[in-house]
Amino acid sequence: MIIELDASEIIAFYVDKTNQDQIDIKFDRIRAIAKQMERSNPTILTSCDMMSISDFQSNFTNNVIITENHVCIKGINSIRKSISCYLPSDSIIKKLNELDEY
Amino acid sequence: MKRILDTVHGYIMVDEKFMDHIIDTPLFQRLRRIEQTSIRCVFPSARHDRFIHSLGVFHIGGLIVNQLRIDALSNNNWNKTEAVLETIYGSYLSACLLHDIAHAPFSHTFEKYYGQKNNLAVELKKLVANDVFSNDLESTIENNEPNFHEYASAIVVYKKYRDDLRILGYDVELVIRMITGIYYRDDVNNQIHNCFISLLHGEIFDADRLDYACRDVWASGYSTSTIDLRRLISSLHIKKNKENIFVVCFESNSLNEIESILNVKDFQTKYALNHHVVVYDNYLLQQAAEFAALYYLDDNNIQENSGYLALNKIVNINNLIDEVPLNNNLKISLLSDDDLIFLMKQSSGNTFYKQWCSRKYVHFALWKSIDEFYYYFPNTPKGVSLKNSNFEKVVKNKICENGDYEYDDIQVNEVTFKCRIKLDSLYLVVANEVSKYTDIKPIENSKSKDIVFYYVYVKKKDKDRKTIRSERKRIVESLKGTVADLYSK
Repeated sequence: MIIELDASEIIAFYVDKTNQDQIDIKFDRIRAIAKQMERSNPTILTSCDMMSISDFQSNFTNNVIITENHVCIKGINSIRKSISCYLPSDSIIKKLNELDEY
Repeated sequence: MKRILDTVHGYIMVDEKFMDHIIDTPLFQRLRRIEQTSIRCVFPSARHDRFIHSLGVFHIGGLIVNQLRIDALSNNNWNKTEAVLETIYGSYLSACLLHDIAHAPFSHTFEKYYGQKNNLAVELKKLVANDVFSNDLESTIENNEPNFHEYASAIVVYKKYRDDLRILGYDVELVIRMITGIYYRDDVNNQIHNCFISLLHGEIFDADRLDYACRDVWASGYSTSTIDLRRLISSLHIKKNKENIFVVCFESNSLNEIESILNVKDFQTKYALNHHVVVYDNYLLQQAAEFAALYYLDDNNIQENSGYLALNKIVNINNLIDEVPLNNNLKISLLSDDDLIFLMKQSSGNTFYKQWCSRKYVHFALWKSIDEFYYYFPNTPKGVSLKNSNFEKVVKNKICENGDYEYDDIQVNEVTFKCRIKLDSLYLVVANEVSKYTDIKPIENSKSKDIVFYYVYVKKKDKDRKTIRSERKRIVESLKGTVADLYSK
């Protein structure tokens, strides 16, 4: 089975993980962890293009600002509950946590 | 000069050099056995293939080159020498022929089995071995390009056609850029090269899209708008825009033809490629092929018995060129639709194949289109992506909660309605000035982005259509609250 993972799920992972109300994530960080995920498991296919990054923004238009090289999410506490439906599966979250800590 | 009769374009005239170096080669002839679309289960007459499509793209490419030759003459050759332009034209026509050379079997159904794009990118970079190309590829990846089969085609072109293209005097790297849509960035000297890249791999219209828009309509038999190809191409120019950059543009009197192509694209996305039967049929085909791959590749090294990884060993760029040894002294080379059918037929116990080849589907769809979904669940947001990672789990739990169904009785498939076309990249000539289409005609937001949506298929407990209808109604009613909760903010 193919596991597809896109940038909106990776952003949701970082948003869910933070305890703060605002987070800045560089596109490079999203792409780097996506590459690591692919390396860790050949059945994972990632897509971290601008389309999938702006997909996340279109769901939280008042909270997300996209600049040239990063995505900024504000007012996280107000959207924390809604984020859960954009998170990847538990096994992917576990792997993302491992790689992020590394 | 060879004449090839085509039902869509009439006679396609092909220079002998293209016959010798590209068309009459095993890899190109393989395309006769690669389905053009994946919609045959719904549109049975759509039996056309990537071979005639590639020739059609070459034909349209020829019409475009002829039109632009005239344009170049009246524009001081866009400040290029004739020799440079001839290399661009020849490279463009070669790329038109070769753009699908490594297409996976059954249209796009199996292209993800070529493996991770990061690995394909690394291989392509290694082959081209040019820093500028590598940097330009990185920029292209940000837009989720190139696609799997484009990477594969570029790699195969480099490995198998590089010498032929050099003999013909064409630019191999430019051919690869045209196939993969890798534009030259920040280089004023390559604006005309970029225009021709966009004429095969554009965000607007290109020879590839024009051919499949005409050919798929003809072959499938569905009625949408008619496209006057010659009128559209005769309105094509390369001119400088307001930022003083050469761009491909169309005269404004071709707007009717442009709208026709958009209508075909919309129809194909909504009613053909994402038809609920097509989506289910493609799912069955993938499962059947994965089963066959596991059956024929008795390999203990395949991680977790993964059908994806097993099939990846068969649907693989290297295997287009070399032979793949399987069990029972079988070997596969020049992989095509026929090979996968053979493997699926021979793998005993392949229930997915039995369903696929008999069309006796064991599941029924709860809704048959996105419009029907909106009808059943009127409070879901419209015109936005419905992607929700909890959808499958929540819907399955709800359907199974009273014990009528098991988890495995339900199949959830995610589909994507790709955005129309990046219309802000389309330029029109109005009152002798080059303007963006979107400056003249603003577009609806929903038509500029991809929309994700789900089909849910439930196992039939009864063959009777009336019983299935009432079961569908019952399940959909039971899901109303669950789906509303999923999409309430």
